[in-house]
Amino acid sequence: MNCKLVHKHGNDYIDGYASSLIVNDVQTHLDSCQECAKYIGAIKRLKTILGDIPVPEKTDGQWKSIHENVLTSLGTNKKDIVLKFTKKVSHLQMFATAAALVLMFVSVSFVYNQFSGKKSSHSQLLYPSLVAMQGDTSKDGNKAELIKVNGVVSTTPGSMSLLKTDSASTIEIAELSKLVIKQYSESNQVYVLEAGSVQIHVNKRKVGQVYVLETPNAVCKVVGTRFTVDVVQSDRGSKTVLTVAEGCVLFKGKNGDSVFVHAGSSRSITGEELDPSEVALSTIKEPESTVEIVVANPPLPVKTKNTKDNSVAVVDEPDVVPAEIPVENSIKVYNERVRESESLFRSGDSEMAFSILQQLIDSLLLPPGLVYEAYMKKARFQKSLKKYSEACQTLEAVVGVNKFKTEHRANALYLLSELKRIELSDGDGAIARYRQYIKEFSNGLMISEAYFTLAELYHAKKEFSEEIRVYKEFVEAYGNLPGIDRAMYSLAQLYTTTQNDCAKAVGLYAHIESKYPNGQFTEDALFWKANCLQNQGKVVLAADAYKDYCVRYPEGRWISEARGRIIDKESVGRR
Amino acid sequence: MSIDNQYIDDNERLRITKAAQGDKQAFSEIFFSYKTMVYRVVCKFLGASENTDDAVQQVFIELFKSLPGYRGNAKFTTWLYRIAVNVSIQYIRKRRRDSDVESLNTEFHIDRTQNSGARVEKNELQMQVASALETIHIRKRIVVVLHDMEGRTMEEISDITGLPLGTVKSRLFHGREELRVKLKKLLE
Repeated sequence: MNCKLVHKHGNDYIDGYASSLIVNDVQTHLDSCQECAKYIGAIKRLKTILGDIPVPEKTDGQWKSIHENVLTSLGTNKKDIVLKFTKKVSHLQMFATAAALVLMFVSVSFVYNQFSGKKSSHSQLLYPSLVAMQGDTSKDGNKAELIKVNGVVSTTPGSMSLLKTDSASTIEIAELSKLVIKQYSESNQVYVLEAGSVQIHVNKRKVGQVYVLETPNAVCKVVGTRFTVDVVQSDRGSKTVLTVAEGCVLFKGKNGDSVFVHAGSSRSITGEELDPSEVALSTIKEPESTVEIVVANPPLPVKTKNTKDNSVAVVDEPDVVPAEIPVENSIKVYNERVRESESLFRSGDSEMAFSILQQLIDSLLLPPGLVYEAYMKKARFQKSLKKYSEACQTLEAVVGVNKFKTEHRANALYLLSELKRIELSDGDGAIARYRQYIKEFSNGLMISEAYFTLAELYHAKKEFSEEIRVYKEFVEAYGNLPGIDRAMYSLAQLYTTTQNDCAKAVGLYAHIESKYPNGQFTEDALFWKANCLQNQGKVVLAADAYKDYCVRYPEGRWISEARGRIIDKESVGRR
Repeated sequence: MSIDNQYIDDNERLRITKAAQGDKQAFSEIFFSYKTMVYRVVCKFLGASENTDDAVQQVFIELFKSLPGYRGNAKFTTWLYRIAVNVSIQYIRKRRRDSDVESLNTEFHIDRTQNSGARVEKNELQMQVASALETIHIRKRIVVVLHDMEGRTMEEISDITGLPLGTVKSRLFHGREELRVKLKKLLE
């Protein structure tokens, strides 16, 4: 058996599919080969971790809701189901016919308007827009819907919309957003983003075509591209100078170095390399030789400022957009930048590492999931540097970003709570955050932990009434989650020790006993129930409970105590 | 509709037959019998995301539609797994289409059984493994999920996916290998 064969048979060996002969041979080899032992150990560990990843429980209420949704979708009996499917087919046929007619009408109108020179009316879109339905698009698929000028596209939590505005331009509208169509014609497209987030891809514009997105405090305008190129000879070979008057141009050298050059800037390439610094602007003139220049389209978003009449965006140097991430390569570049930041962090240059992560966070081109990951990486770096307050700020920022997925914001809030509790020893701050988690993310993955930790914090502050309230709330709201018996047990103990309310405690102990006969708290619950009954003066019931304990737990931790108390009772009885 | 008894008992056969005829009660019984299994499988593909409930509903809707075609020539759970896997793949593909990224966006549930410090470390590890799992090709991911997370045997996976046994083994090997390389520092 050699290393190659160990790799070949390793999976069968780990999964128990290998013959005994192979198993022996592999084991013998592993005893002497550290590399193979590491390899097999890694696969085993991976398999264990994969197998251990649990899934969250669902409450009875949640299952009931899912069940009802399924039945609603299917109808309540076969007849209904048959009718529903039949109707659906009929509806589909009707819809297909109607859609075909609409498309035909629009195409004819479009062609007619193109050749007749007529302008389209401001009250109707020239191009039909396809808008995905809000909510679940997987069941219904995309539905075509004409949007009129002054129409509004609003999205709800968990949904998105896609607006196709002309032949290839799109506006992707994230959840919880509101976009108003202010103007829509062949020459003017003006949208107003009143809330939320959009990602826009704009096709090449013709001269005179305007594309503007307004927000409550800014205007973004897509501009064309105007630039000049000069080629001069230097002692290092040809020198190409690119000067951009409008828009943005991707400038690339033969060795692969590239940079986006924005309006009002100029860069040069000498020989094969990009010159490190900007050069003085040259006058605008026709290029004298051909050079490979790739024009970026669409141009990157730029900072704007309002002019006096507030009607035109002025292109200015952007200060938040990472200059070198082409949209179509965003994932690849994201991974590269993250690796770069990790490498810098490991080598001790945390400032540069944070700078890269901040660029990714500020990028308008990355999808929310990657921006979230960048935030979390930043927080992890800050935590490892013991910059706990900064890490808290980073996590706070994540919680506040509505476009992130709910579970991401929940995760960040939970981690923030833990940071405040453990690293910053900020009990009150932690309490506030756990409370916020419970309130805002009642279906969060860490809901049980949040409740228990919150209760522990109140216990540490000796605020037992609040602690009781937390356990009660948890038990009442999440009756079927794992850990409920622990909460009931803690609650019963609190009733006894802090409220002197044995009656409530007995009720809870009895409930644990009946609902969790083999639970980890049942033995203790049985003993303490007997204890409570004894304290209430219910001697006979207490004795029965102690006897019950002795029968069920003959080697239990309270056995001596329980037997002793039974003997005492009997002694008292005999007297 | 006639169902062979080889893989299911009489009660199950009767329940399925009734459900296929539109009996709400019978279908509801099937739902409540298998809901946890379906949810677990879907969760392991999609994570505990907002789409998971939708996907679970879709699995049962698809099950209902396909019940008349069930002849009992495979275990009912195999049949159901097949549907769950197919629906999960549809959702993964749709998510990829919508977000234009091999998503790092789902999270798995975090173990609640340990003390706080070890739990947080284990959670991080599980999250990283879960994230890495999302980056491997769906063909390999199916086999890794069904084998290492769901505990299905090779033969069962072969039945569920319709793939030859050799292909299942090969995809499991390559899937694990890819994960091992991606998570090298964590695992060693």
